[in-house]
Amino acid sequence: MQDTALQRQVDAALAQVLDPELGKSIVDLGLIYGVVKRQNTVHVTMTTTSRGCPAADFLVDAVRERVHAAVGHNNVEVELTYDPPWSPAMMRIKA
Amino acid sequence: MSRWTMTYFSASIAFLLSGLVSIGSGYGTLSAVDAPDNLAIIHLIVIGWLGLLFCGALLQFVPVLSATHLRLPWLAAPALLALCLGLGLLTMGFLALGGRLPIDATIMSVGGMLLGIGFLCIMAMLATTIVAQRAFGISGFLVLVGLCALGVTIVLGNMFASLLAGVLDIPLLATHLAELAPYHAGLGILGWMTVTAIGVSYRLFAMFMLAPERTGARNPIAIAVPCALAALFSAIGLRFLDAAWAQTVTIVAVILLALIVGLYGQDVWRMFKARRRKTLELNSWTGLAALGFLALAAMLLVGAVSFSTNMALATAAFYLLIMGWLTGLGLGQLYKIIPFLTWLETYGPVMGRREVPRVQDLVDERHARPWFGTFYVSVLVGAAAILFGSDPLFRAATWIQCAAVAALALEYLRARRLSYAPLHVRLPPGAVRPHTICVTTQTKE
Repeated sequence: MQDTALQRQVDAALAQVLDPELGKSIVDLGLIYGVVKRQNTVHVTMTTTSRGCPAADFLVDAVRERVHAAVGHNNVEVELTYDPPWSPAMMRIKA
Repeated sequence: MSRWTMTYFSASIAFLLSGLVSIGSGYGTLSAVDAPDNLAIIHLIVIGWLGLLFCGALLQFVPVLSATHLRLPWLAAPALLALCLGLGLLTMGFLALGGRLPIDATIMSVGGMLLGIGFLCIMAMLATTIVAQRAFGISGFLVLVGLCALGVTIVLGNMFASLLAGVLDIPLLATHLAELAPYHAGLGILGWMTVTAIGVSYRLFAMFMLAPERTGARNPIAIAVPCALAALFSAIGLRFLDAAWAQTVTIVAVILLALIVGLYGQDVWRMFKARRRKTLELNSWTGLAALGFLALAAMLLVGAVSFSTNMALATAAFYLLIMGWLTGLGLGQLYKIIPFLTWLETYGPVMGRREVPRVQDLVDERHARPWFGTFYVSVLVGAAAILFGSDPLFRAATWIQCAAVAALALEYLRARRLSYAPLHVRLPPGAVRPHTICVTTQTKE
């Protein structure tokens, strides 16, 4: 179920997670594809700027950590996807 | 993250500095390019610096290009050992040939074999990683094609080393040795390194400039590169049959190379125009400058092969390829790769839990920028010295290059030691300061 309040809460939490190379928030870069809450679990779907990115595992861990801290007791699941692949056109800001 | 990439880089920089110091100190001469002293230094720089740099970088990049883990990662350390030992023996063999070392020159052939083993290990790791994916874009394709050229370069190099050492006795080959040597150099520098650099940089430029990738399999470069290499391979065979035909086919290969450079330059220009990152970092600018040297070298090479019997023109073209294009590109990309690997090692594990710096916080471009400029200017002076046949000017340019490379190596070291990272986030709880020349923690291999 989409939850706008939850989306805002997660976006705020992830605004502090920066892509190490670009130095911009992963939310502003458009790397977060979706946030959905099902039962007691928050599911985050995200991507990285390129498939095979060496920082992918760290970014996934960081997202899990920040979202968990933001939503409190809920379980957090983070899925990494490349469908669709990220492109610079998905950015919400100018680099 | 490949455990040995930093070790490859450290060794490669040491080889580059030792090569530049040797030239500056008076080894080698412009008047006889194929003199043993020159060959020792050329191999020290091309294999020791560029070869190890490419191997180390590819161990890191190919898994990224292929979106999979590196296959046979345990071969990386023995390959490095074989390459360093092999190069050492080969260099000693050249010095023995020139009468500088009182040892048997047969060690050259042992050195050649060790180099062959080392490069075969690298080829096995990279090729199996790329073909593990059913579909690979132009980057992976060009890396694979480049490996084919590397294979032929190794075979030719081993035959030459065995001939010079007196281990192999094939009169027909010995007769054509001088004619075949430029093909050995061309296949290594153009066929392997340049083709690979073009392939990898398609992805790197797109990533660093935030530009749409131009990596579709229908890129005309995907056809032009194999054609150019096929022409070079054919020219090698024709050298034994008909020298005139061999020359014609060589001209075709070099013109194809110029076409490839033109197509590549056009693609990079389109990426540059379409980029979302308006303020480029230093590594992107140095990469673009290196591309200018590639274009200049290609023009000189076409002129040298087509219209001139003047060796200086061809020598200047190869010099610009080695120092301006490949070394410039390599030094520039190291300025990004080393901080990035350092960031992954140090801050990746605590990301999201602690405040961490950005990759760009690990460098200070104000310190490095003048040295990159100095390096490129000194390469232009070096090329001019080759064209005018001035040894003193060439050595002076080399000392300036040496100073620039040493200063940049210091910047790499500072990035590695986190010297520029803001104090309050330099070493957050849980982060471990990285080892200087090897990766101490591994994520995935």
